[in-house]
Amino acid sequence: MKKKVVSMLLTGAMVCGLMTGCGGSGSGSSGGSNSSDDTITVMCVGTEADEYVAGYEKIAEEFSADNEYGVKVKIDFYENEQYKTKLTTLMASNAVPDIFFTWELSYLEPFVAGGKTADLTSYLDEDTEWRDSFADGTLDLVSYDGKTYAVPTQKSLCVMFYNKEIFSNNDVEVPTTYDEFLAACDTFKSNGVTPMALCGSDAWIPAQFVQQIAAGMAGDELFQSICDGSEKWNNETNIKAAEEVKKMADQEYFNNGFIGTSPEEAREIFTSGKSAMWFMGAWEVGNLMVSDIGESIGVFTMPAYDSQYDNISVGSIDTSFAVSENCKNKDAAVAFLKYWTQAENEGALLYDYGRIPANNFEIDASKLSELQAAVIETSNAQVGLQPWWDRQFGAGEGVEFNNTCVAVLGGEDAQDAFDELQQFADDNANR
Amino acid sequence: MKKVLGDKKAIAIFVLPAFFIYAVFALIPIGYNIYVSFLQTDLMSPSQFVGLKNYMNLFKDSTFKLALKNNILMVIGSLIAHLPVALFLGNILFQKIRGSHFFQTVFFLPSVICGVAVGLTWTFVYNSEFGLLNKFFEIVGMESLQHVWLSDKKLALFCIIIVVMWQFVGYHMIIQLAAMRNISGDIYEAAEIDGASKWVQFKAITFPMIKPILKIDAVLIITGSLKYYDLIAVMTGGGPNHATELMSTYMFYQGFRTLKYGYSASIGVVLLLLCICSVFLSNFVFKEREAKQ
Repeated sequence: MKKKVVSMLLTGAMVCGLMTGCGGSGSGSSGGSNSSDDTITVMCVGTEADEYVAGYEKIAEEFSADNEYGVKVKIDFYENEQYKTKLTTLMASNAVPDIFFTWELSYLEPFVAGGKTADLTSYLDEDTEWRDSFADGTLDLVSYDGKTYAVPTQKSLCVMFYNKEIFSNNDVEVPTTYDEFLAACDTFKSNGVTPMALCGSDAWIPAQFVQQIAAGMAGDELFQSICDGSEKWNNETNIKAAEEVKKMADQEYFNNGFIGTSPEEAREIFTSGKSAMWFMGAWEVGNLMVSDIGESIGVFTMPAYDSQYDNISVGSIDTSFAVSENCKNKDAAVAFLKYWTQAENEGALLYDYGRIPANNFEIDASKLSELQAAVIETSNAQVGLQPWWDRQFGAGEGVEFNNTCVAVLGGEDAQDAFDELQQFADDNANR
Repeated sequence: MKKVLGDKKAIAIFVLPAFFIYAVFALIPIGYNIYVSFLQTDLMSPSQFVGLKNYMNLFKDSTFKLALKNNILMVIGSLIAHLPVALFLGNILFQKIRGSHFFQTVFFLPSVICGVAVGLTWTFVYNSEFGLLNKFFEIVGMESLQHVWLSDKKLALFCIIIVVMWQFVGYHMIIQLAAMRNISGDIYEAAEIDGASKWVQFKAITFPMIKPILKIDAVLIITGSLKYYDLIAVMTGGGPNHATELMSTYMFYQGFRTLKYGYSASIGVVLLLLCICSVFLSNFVFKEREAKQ
């Protein structure tokens, strides 16, 4: 009998051994990937389908090949939603990789408040040339209490891409006023062409269009007043803008069943020449250039509802990178970011993938495609940029704004929907 | 062997490893979750003890109420598909009809496919442009029935509930079928000699004898659909405008998206309480019936 007990004990010990074995190796490998001194791990948003991924990897490879710190840089790419989940989990468990992709404003704020990100101010102050290379105001979007916690690598704004061929076939000129825009949509509609491709399944996409229309109605003032709380979410302009977009939907200016269209499908509708226009972030230029109609795509900014607010666009900086507080080799991490934001690399990203750089340098116009040049010109023509609501307010109010816009397009009364949003904002502040 | 099982130490050796795993992966997290639910925290900055405030906020939160309602609809839908319908299918296959093994496999197949794959497949079926369903309506000339299924606030949840019903009906059917097959054939033989019809056989023999299994099954169905997560996450992500939000997806949203972990933990606690309640409830319902007989 004793023997049996002993053998059982041994079995038990083996089972425990197996378990701890698993646990040990698991934590070992995850610890290894971000704590080893000679590898800098970067976490970034991107998928195989994104053209720019190759460009980012090239920068990492070149830096790894030759740098004074002898470090290697490894970039891990994740799909957008997956990335957000992964980053927040890593943040809460204190296992953030050395450098991580971040959005500006509200997105980065809790990580800064929680002391998870390294203060980069001293590095920027040391190298004023680097600091001054960033365009005016771009660093403010990633600064909190006067300290800078990330560096942007890209600027972006929403533009209206249009298919020149469809425009000329239908004798439509690029609209310069809001009424002309509606008239153009009407012409396309009656000629059997879908005026605009729109994705409704990702709520932020119709929401950025609503925000753009609202910006054209009341300009930057409205944006600032909502930010500082003096104006409510359910103000007249927001409601009117949402109703305006709903009206376009009712007029069938968007693709059929747009409310269920995915972002990729919307792009496909535009690039396959089925729609005349597509309202999207300028970051899509890289994908558009390699599409079938790459040659005949033009770009304009959405004419404002009230023409005194022309050239105010939804836009901001993009693809910012922050260094984590527990990064072992911050100097090397910052050096990598410095390398990335050099004119040479930012230039390559611009010429090859159409990424608008966040810093100022001499752009070699001869290397730009027609579309890129047009986008840069549009970007420079803007008198005001207002960040997307979901970046300004983050998940929570910002995301609820997006949901509200989708609800209105889905048929809910705009006044009710925005009242609910305001209610949510009041409640949520307290959770 | 009997001696070994009487020995407390030996029992402990058998039980402890499992208990250890259970404690590490279930009991301790549940305890920690209850603790977090009393805090206002993003798990990064210093957290603040707020007592029951999170719970009080929950019942003022219209999205949470919607999620709760959706969960109840999900429970009802699952109960319909996974008790009566599964029992009906199981009973047909139990009658030793030709190809019953084949059908058994076919019905069971969806529940072995991973939830994400099922979700993606059905997203394509429901797709408004090239989806099977809309194309079908187009072919039979009933265009008026075409919808943007998963983006329509009123329809999206029902579309998903139907997939859940379809996916797990075979699973519960197999459980019930296994219970039926355990019943001794003698009883049916005797009943047949007495001239009992198939319906009477089912009512008087099959159903009472598989009732203990049905009880466990009901608990599984209710807790399963309260905790349901994967199809919603894949197919709609809780949208459009929270119309398909369940408690679990709303918990995820509040935690991982808005970083209100305390609030999110309190949703988890409510979910836990509901699951525990449902166990007691189904115990109670089945006991009542037993007592009556």
